[in-house]
Amino acid sequence: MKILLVDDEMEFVKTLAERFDLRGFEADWATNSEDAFKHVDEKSYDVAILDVKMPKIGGFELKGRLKEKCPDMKFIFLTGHGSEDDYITGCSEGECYLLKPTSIEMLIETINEVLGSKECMP
Amino acid sequence: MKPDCDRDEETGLAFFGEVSAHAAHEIKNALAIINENAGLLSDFTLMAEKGAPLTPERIGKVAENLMKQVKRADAIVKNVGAFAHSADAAEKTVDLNEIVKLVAALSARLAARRSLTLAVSTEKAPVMLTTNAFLLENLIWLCLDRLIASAKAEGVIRLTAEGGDCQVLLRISGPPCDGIASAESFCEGRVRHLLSALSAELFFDEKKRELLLRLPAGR
Repeated sequence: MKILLVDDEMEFVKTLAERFDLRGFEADWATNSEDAFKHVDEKSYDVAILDVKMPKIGGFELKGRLKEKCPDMKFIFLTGHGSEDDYITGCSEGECYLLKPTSIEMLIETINEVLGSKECMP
Repeated sequence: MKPDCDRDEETGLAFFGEVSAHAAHEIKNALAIINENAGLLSDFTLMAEKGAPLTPERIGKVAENLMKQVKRADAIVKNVGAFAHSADAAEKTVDLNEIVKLVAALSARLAARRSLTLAVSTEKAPVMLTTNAFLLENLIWLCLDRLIASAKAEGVIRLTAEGGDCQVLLRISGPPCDGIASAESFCEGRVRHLLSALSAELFFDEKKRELLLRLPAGR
């Protein structure tokens, strides 16, 4: 199971990637859209976990661009923002939307949901 | 036309809401990093119980991350506290340097999202004025918000407070901005109300790309 994590907070995304790796997932991370595109050029991912509020290109716009390169990739939005507008937009995008901080167990459960699998196999 | 007290309340509430929302978001980000690092320590503990070796260097790095984020969240809360207390009195004598530093700290992340840095240049001596600190912070916040939103390039927005006998000055300069050709571009709604409430004037020097806020020293 390949996961791409994109968040402008490096210490968050790097630690989360390490925790996914410890659980047998293959997790790569990026702090901006340019690095996210580089990853996607080299590998195909099952799911991307994106922060909503990021410099230059936010999560919703990034999803659109990544979707062009990887139509089968699923998306989960993760944010500390929590505004009603963002929640409505996130849900209308058809993917899952979680508020930070969240547990890795919740993230894995959400990955299961978006991939439509009962049990998440790394 | 709404009475001034209504405009004050409306403007103040909007400002309070914006600052609170941004601070809450930043604290959430710090908590998320603390959460993941604490989770990682928990993961290491489980692995150690199963016989996997612990790496002191790695655990030390996690501890360092935790302390850094606690410091970060503490600084945010301290700034929000200072901001909240600025509404304690309708008028008081304040140092413009300190007001500018506070608003810059509250706006730093907003600027960073647009690849901008806020640099506060302060005079060695305090720049004192008697004013409504909350309204002044609101005005500076709105000016910065406008500059940040319309900046065409990355760069540094510089804020410099200058003292005088009867009036004080705040200079704000930065990268070129879209749609800003005069002070009139700033003087909409809330800004116009605040300028009037503070007896302040706003000027824009297009050549220098500098916004000048002139305030009575009121002493």
